[in-house]
Amino acid sequence: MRIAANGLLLLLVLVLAACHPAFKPEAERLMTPEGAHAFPFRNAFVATVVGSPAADRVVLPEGIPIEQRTLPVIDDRTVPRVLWYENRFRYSIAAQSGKAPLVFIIGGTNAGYSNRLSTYLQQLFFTAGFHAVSISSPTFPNFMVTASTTSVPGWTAQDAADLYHMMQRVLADVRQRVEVSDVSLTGYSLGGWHSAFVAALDHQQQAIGFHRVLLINPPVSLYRSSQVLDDMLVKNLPGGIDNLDAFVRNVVNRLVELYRENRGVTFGQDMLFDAYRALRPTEDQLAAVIGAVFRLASANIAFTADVMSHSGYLVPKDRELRISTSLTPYFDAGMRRGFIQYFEELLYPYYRQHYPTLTRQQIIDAASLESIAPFLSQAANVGLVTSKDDIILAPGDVDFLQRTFGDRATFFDYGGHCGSMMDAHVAAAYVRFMMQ
Amino acid sequence: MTRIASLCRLATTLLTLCLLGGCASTYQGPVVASADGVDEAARPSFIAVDDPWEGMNRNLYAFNALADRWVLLPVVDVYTDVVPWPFRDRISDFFANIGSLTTFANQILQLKFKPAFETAMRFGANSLLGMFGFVDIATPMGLPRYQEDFGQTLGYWGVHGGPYLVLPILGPSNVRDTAGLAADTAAFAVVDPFGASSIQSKYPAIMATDIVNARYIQPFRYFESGSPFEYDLVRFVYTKKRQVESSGVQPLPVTSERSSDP
Repeated sequence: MRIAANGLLLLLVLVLAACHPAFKPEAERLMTPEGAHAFPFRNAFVATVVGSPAADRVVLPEGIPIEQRTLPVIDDRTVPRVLWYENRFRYSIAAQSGKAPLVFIIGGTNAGYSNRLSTYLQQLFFTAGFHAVSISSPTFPNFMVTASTTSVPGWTAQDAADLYHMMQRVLADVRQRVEVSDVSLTGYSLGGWHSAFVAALDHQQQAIGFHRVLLINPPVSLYRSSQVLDDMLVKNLPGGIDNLDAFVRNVVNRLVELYRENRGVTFGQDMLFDAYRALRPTEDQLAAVIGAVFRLASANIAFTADVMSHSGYLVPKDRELRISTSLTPYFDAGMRRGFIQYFEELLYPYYRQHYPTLTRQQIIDAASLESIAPFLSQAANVGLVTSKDDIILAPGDVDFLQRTFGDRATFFDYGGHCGSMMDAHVAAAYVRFMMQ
Repeated sequence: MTRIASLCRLATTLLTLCLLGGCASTYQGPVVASADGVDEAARPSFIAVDDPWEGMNRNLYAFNALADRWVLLPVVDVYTDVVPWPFRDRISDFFANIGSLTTFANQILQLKFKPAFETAMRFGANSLLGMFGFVDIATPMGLPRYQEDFGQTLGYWGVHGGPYLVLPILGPSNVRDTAGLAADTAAFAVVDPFGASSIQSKYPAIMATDIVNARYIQPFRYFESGSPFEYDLVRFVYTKKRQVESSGVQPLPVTSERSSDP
């Protein structure tokens, strides 16, 4: 009996040992997807909300180990009590066991290092053989509080400098544990836009020396794209912004109806797709939903920037918020103000205080890839993968990107804003550029 | 035994409170003094929820985040390091199978006989053929997995959720669901079908694994949402979710809570 038990135990240990997954780099497989690329949605709003169907997505191994790491707050800054939990800078890494190239991934607007799309890119590049390090967007509260010099994101020079500084600190932290051969950079949405400015800074300062920089679905002009997204909410809400509450209630109720009637919607990878098929939302409704998501991001950014800079934009300057203070009134007020209003009433006055000669137009111009077009058109290591129908691009933006990046750009006809990022053929384009 | 007795007392007290009218009041919109600096007049906001103990709740939310960071998640990290994921899935299946007893009882109480039958079949199949529940063979057999608790049963019979409540460690709840949770726990311990509860109290390691697994299968992480309004968002989502789940409709079968996307 005892022998049998011991034997069983030994077997169990052996099985456990055999089950520890070993990951082999699979760049070749990722770069050569099977079948022809066919993104199913011709409507860019549908593409943006629903994304790639599960069958078209790149297959990545399960159980990739992603480790969260932290670094101290910059400048021994005192963190306001209401944001007490932002007391360390957080990032994450999926590390190879041996020496490998490293890629930084920067999140989109208000997206943190653990955002769904950041994690996806992390898994993708880890599978391709990289140490994949995910960094929050400078518009993510944790970054704003612990790593941003001013905590007021949107002023290009400052965002890029803060990111570049943090990447060097992270790199030093990572190099203590794993060997790094070279360093690349990518980012999606606003993170792609940030990547371009960090690449330009790196070109001047050479503190890191990026091997490859990949821009995924970036805006061209932050101001123009913010206007587009602000308008999506305001123009598509029946009755204007005052009906935001009614609109959200309506959306939630429709989802609840769907759940009640059990119309073939199952939780899982294709839930959004099923919901879309069952509800058949109009383009206006989808645009309003996208606008509402961006509006929430704007509220998050504005509130955090306001608390950190004592600007009096949402919170009275002399009010100290405590852990127990209700923030609901500030949420409501934040949701009634768009990103452009944050730009005009918080960001611009804030930076004008620090640089008295700065004009509003200078900030707007600087916050566009056009301001670094000479660098981008020359930089052989900077590439772009995006969709021609990306809804955050304004008229003329696709032309600008085509002109500037030439053969370093890959355009897919469809995919909306970041909607086809998980498609196997789109993923192959990312990996191919990084592996060149 | 004292634990069970006190749980029963708690349940009775809360239930009485709930039935006596705490839940009968309909919500009138936020009673916030319009914050200076905020020029808009306060109006009913879609995100507002009846939350009379908001100050205490927000403090508890912070406490829970700390407990999560310093106690629960480090333990889960060790667990994930030591136990490879195919085995973690087996353990999750095991506790889900035990949990289906609670679901079954509440399905009966809600007169949902067909789903209750399916749940009973699940329990039987998994316990007998699925290695005491370690392997969920019922799902591939086409038997859906439901989740019902006494909070939902109370909701089914018309009891409103009542004021929002953040429970220490356990997180978002409301008065009704807290009573429901206490009743489920007490009933499970008193009825003790198949001796599961006595095994748990005899082998604390099993109860500990139950708790670690419960945290492990929950993907939520505090303060990763990117919103300083996370408390408000969690409160809103929890309330909506429970409204739907307890409104007498047939909830969708549950799939794994850990989404592997993609």
